[in-house]
Amino acid sequence: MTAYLLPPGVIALAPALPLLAALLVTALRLSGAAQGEAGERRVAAVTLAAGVPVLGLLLAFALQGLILGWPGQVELGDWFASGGWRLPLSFTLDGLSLGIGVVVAFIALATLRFSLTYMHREAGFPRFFLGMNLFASGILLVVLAGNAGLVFVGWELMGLASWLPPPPSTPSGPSSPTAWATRACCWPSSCPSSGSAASIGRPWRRAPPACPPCT
Amino acid sequence: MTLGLDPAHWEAYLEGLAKELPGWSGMVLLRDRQCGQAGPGVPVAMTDYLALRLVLEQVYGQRLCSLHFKTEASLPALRGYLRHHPAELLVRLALYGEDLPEWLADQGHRLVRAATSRAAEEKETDWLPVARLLESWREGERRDPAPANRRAWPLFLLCQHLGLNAEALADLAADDARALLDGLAELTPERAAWVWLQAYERHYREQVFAALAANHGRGAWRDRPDGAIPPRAQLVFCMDDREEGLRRHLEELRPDIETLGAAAHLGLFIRYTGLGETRHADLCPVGARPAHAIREEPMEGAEAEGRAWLARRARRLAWKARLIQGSRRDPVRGLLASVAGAPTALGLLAGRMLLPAALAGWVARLREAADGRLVTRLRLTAGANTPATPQAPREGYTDAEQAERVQAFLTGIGLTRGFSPLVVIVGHGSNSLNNPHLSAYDCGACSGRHSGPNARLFAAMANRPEVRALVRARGIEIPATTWFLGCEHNTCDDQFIWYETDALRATHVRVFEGLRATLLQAGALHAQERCRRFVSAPLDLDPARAHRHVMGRRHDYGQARPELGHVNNAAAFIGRRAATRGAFFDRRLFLISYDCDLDPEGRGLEPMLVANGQVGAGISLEYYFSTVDNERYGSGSKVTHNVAGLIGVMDGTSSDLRTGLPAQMIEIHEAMRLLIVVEHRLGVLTGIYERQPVLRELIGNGWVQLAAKDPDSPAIHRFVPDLGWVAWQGRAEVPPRARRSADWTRGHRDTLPPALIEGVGEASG
Repeated sequence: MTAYLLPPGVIALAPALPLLAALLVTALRLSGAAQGEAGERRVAAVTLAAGVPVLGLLLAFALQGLILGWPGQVELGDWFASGGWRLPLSFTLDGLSLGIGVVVAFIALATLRFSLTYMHREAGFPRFFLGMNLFASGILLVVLAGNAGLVFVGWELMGLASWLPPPPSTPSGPSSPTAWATRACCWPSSCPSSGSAASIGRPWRRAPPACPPCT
Repeated sequence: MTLGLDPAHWEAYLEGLAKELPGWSGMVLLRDRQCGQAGPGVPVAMTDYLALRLVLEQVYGQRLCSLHFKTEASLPALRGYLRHHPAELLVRLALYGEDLPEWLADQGHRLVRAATSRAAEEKETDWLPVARLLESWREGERRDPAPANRRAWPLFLLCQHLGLNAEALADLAADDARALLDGLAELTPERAAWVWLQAYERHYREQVFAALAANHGRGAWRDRPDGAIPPRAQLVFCMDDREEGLRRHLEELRPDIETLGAAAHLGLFIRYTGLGETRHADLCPVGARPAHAIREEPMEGAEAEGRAWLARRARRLAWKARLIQGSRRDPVRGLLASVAGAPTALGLLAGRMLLPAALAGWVARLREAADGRLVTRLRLTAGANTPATPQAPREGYTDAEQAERVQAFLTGIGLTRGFSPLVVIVGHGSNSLNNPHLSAYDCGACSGRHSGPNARLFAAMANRPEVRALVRARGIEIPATTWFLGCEHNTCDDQFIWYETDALRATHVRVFEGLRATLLQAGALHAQERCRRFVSAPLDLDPARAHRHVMGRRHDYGQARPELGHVNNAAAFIGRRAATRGAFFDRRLFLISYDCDLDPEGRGLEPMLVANGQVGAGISLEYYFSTVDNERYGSGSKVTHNVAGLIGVMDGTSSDLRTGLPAQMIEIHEAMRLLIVVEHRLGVLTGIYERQPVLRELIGNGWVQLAAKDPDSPAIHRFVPDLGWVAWQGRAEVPPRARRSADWTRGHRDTLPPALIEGVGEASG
């Protein structure tokens, strides 16, 4: 059996760190610590503190795989089991999943870095990064998952994240054109939530509004 | 099917329809009016647009009418329906036209919702109870329009502004209390806003007047006596408020340098085509149409090199197009290009993310290595004196036209003698990435484009011996030792492009090298001053790091605030630089050079005031309105902007074309009307005001404020439309003093009041 420098179980950090960042951003938001310029800096620090190590981790795994060989299927234990059915916490660490994982982590980091500047002073700054971190976590889980159950979980995380676009920066609420436009942007057919189980519970999101309320 | 409108109302109706989407309607109307001017293209007609809007209106109206009234969408049908449903009419009118209390509005909305869910016509009896409630509420309002509970809050706010606490309020005499309440009754939101605006403007106006009065007589080169030592160099900048900072730093670094200001089209309205470009740009104010075309071409004798350079450039562009367009359109080549180019694209993405300025520098060097260097000149002299018209712009200016332009410009800015060995004409522009609002940062005098080519052209004209001879005949003696040089200042990263430095005489090279280094140093200090307004830049940046910071902003794809544009603009000064030199105005002043001693009757001032007054007012009011109501007059946040059809921006994928400035450009703007201070005598200004309807409209109707600074004393008068000239009786206290601008701005993020900078104004002149 090959002795790896990086224990294969460490790969769980790849989806876990952005998920943790999303939870921390939520905590900052709920406690009011995400407000203002100082709040932006905190959210940025949390986001980058998750994004940079994830890319490093995946690069290290990919490099290790190229030199020492790919670990393949890695099982860390059961998430839960019911009767004869069990959902294992397993990951696939082959050339394909780690290669795509590196690209995904890089694109996610580039997007986060871009957005930290672009979204400066926007009303929905923390909420946006909550969604982005959640999305990064979901997509990394989809790419690295070792079973269909975890793919489903990752897919749903992405669906949940796409439900959290930035709110309009205008104070006029969802009836403003900005809000309609922003929402309209979030219904491309490629939007994961349009095919996710999470969307079943909110069918009103499936179709864009025909027109603003005509009262 | 018709709407049944009376033809007498068609015009007003169509106007109202067009104004529902001011962005799209304005764009279509502009293109309609430009038809035939802009050359070949798809013809656009306002009537087509209105016809389309009418069709959509009819469809939408039909949907609404059948949903709410179960009738067709025509005025007679609606009238007939509402005549039979007076209670419904009453409730609906009040619901959407009045400010109803929540309990009543709620009942009205419930009825409307019920009406939309029924297939049958409304029963009047359903609406009658709410109509009665409405009437009784109105009766109550009539009896006591302002009950005590509604007056208390405005009174509380007013007392806060007046500094009255509860005890002081209770101690007021009956007459004083009545006066206070009467004042409160008159203080409608509109009036309160007007009072606040005037108070805000007065606060800043007092500071500017105090600084101008205190600075009187301090500035160098107020006069240019014969035999005096001329400045080491003279630099003519754009009147742009952003140049105030750079000019100040330059003068602080080298007090023997003189700076001047003027609209950066420099009186040259040109259709400019750069070397190898297929499209031209009209470099002149909005509304003007150039009658002269100027082309950049290889220097005489370098035609063969020029052809080779163009061929190399064409090859590079062809490869670029093949890569970008080919990968979009051709499935096979697209796949190959994507696979082959992916690692490079990933590397570029990483570069853009981590080191945007370094990557941009590397790409620029690579491009220059691929194309090679070529020395170019402008074709500025016309071959023959053929007519020059906007319909058929002529290539170049005749010698007489060049002399006339050079003489008029130099006279206008008051530079008719005392020339330095080096006179630099500085145009300006701004570069940034991912920015659909780019032209809002460029030169306003050149309709939102770069004015570097105008600066280059002017310098080339003024250096020609033929032109100098003609200018001499017109009364301006430019010494043979004086050389003009063109330059462009990038207001985003405070870098400079120099034109035709290869033509510099050996005697000027040393002065030029020194000036170039000083200008870069001033650029770094200016960057440091600007950085204090960016929240994302640390307050303790030294000049070199600040310079790198602004360069990074220029090349950052994600930067929605590459620079802050005219965000500080608040006032304009038309007069000699000596009146403002040595004072700190925090980049808030448009500075237009004008010497009233050369123009005692104000003949030159009149067109200058009309042209520059309009440009200044246009910029100031655009910022003013975009700030006071960014959703309506501005264009909201850049974050949701999508470029639509390369003609404008929309919010997301369905909205009107957004007009005005985005929120990122005005968020720290202080909304005030432009204060124009002119250095001249009152009689001259009164005469100009009475002769010029444009100025009467701008100043008389209060769109801008006008003041006059006496050329020979610190006296200042303010023009009040209803009263005429009123002498300024402001504070006599001297503004604060600082050794350098950087000492005054250090540690401050907000705008700062004017201050006097020591050791700049008093330079020997």
